Amino acid sequence: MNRKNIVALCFFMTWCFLSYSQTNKNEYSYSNFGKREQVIQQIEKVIKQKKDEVYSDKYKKDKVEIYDNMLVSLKGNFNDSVYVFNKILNDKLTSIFEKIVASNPQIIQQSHYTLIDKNIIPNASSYGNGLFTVNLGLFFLLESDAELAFVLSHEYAHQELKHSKAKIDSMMSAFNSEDLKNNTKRIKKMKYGKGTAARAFLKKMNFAFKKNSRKNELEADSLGFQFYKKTGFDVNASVSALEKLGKLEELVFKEEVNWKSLFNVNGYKFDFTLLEEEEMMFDLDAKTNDYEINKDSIRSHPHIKERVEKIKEKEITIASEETNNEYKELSRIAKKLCVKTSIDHAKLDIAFYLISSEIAKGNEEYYEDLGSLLKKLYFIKKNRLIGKEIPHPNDRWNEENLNSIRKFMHNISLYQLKKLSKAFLTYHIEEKNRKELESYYTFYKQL
Amino acid sequence: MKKLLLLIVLMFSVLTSFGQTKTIEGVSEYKLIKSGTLDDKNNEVDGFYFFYKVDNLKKGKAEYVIVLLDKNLNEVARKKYIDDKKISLVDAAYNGDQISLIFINYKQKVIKTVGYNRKGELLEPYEFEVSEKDLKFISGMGKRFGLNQIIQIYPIDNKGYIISYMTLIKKMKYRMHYISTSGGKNWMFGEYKKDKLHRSMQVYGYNDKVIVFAEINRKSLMSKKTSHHLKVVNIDNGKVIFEKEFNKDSKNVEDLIMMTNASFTDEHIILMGEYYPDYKSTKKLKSDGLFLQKYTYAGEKISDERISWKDEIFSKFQELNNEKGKNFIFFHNIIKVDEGYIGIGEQYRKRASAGGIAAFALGGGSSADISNLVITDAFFFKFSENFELVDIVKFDKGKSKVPNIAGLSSPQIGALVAKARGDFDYVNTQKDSKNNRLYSTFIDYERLKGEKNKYSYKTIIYQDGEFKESKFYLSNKNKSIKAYPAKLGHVMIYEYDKKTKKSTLHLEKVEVE
Repeated sequence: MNRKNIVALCFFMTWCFLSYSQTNKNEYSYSNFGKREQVIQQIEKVIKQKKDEVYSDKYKKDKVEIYDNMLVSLKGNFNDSVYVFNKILNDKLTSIFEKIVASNPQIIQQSHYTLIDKNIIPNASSYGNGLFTVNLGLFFLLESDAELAFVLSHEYAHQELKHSKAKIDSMMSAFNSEDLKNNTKRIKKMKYGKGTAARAFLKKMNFAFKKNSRKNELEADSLGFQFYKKTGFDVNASVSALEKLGKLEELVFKEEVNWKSLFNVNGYKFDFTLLEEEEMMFDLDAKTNDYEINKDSIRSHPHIKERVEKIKEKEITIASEETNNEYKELSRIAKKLCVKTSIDHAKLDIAFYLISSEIAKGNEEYYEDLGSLLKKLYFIKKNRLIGKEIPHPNDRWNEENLNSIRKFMHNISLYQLKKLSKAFLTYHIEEKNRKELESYYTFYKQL
Repeated sequence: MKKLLLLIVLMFSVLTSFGQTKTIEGVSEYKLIKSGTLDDKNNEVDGFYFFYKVDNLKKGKAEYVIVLLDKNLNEVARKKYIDDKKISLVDAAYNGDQISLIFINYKQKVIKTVGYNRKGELLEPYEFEVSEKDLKFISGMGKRFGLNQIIQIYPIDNKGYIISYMTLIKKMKYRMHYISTSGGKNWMFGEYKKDKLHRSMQVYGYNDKVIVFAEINRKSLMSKKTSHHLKVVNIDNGKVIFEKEFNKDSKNVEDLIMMTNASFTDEHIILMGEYYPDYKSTKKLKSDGLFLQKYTYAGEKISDERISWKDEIFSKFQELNNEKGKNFIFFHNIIKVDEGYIGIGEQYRKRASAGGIAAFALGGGSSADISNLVITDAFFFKFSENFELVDIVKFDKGKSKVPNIAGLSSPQIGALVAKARGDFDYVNTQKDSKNNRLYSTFIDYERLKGEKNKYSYKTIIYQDGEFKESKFYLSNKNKSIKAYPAKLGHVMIYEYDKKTKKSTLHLEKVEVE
């Protein structure tokens, strides 16, 4: 290669790197919509209110410290782009919250602000004082305004019941209780078995906290259902929403990647040795732990079955089957957003899983994302960051399909990646005329 | 390197939830006693162990916790272990069948292994008695050099473990215990009760059939007169299959060899190293060239190939050598690959130190001050199956100047001492038998034009019959970076971000495009 070509290649690589790091960076960030400062102010206002509420409380200093840490964590999430802004999704959440509040004038805290977390796991939470977070994954699962309204009513009930504050109050009371002081004194005096006694005591405390948390969830279900009923939505949707959340483990990462259909193109044959199991020290499906404690005792939420039964006591018998097209679109937006944020934040295993499952369903718009992912994977591997960004396969999480993606990403060499990507991109440009892949094709061709 | 590994695994405690976390009011503490790597003879890291003390119990007992991480840094086991308070964990290893931890129990005066099978179940421990005198000796030496240097464990694939340690029977002697994990016979080697020699050992290689080592004997610890015995011992019964001895009376010049390492095929034991023209040359380590001897497992010699510096290697080496003066190669390893053998070495030379000579002449310095060893480029020697030189490939490295502790002795002796002190840039080599690849790693100090000098982590990869270099720097503007051995074909990278003061640990593949 002559000097001219080397200079050209260096320029190209630099351009690619810059364009890679700048691509769509702000598409979903609060800053892009000029909302970042406004939202941070809103969060600061909420935390200030919380601090004011504990002004005359016992253990005020400790509680203020907890809220200060909460503020730092929430602000930090903005720096780490944990929260994403999408007008359609944010408007949808706002409209449902408004409906709940309008239907329930007795609700004390009428104002509300919701942050969307890019997390794929369907979940929502209430920070109290009008601040809520909803994970993108919730839009993958729910299929109607009614189901979303039930979930948000539940979160509103947590707020109305001041569970967030109650949790901190009970922790502070426990940590400063006579019981704890006496037990600490007793254990300290022990000549032998201090550790065992301390662990047993801590276990008891932990179980008590979690028991209380489960009780709070049932209370939030009950009050949430009252709020929800007044919205006028189909009451049966409360059961269908809960049942969908109950099937979470079956639904998340359930789809296998079809490696052959994705990559066996243009004469390229996918190398399945990349997915081979490594020989490990232990031949076990899960971690062996002599100190394991009963998982049911440390659940923060009751079993869905119990929650559904409690709701059904309110004369609901049939789970709603309602599916509407609007929610198909919201789910599509959420998935696209999740893929984009995952690629941008190097969560390529999650992004690959979503992309491959959508392509398998015939969603053509995800080919461009796959091109973008293959380019990002090249940079991450080239810069020796794959071990930092992508977790190693770990059987204990029972995420077989995600694990196979992680094996692929860890085991593929740069040489193999170039070969695979070139074959994939050439096929889709030349045979399928996917013009949106051209920049990635050029990138790999120039390497 | 082992010490560095210990440092890094200490940092894992930050990552594990079972770290040195204090519980409420400091009522109970999890105290990290020891951590280390579970590595095999191919320098692959199979996992990591952490040993914590969590409680004092009645009757002089204590509760401990053993935490094991797999080679991908996932926690896979947390096991409760009750034993006496007066114990020390020496080291741990994994042989494909079970994980074994070696303990010294000072109360019961035993060395004992505690093993877990692949289902994570605790197995019946194996122990052997150690005298009070030996315990004091092991403990004293252990404090100075590390217990895992005094008691060593060699995992034998899917068969058992060999534990070697030093004992004081009249004089200082080595002893080996073989513990079968597959239902075979246990044995002990080194029952030298009556003789008055100091006997030490150096292991050159082992597989599931034999262990190859040198026994070095001398009358007193300061004595320069030594005799070397090369021994090949059967793993199944502890019997010597064959041995070779050379001393000043050796008549058989063919046996005047100094091993670098042993390697194995299904049919053959392959001994590799340097050969000498006479006994006198062995004292100065002035060898004539390299040898490769093949034996059957019954001890029958099949071949003895030799290649001389003078006639065969020197001219090719000189073509690549840019350095002035008399330069040598220190061979770290000779490894069997599908095409033949690969010798891995580093170039060095002895250089007088002006300051050191002046100080020595004035009586103010030691003989070690008068010269340095200058360590330069890495050399890879490609030999055919018949041990003929096929090619020499050089990889440039920065010059490292290290003190020549051997002082007035020959440069070769200086290099051997430097090797023992870890002064060479070479770290280790991993062999990927399945893909016929080698990964040889060096830590190089590079002098860079227009920027600050940096350490780099260089891996020479032998792949598809060619050598290629993969390199990354161990520091940049915002981060300090350290690199450590990991599973096959990988490096473990520890990064400390100076700005955010956060540290991360991750495994990365070593590769070239």
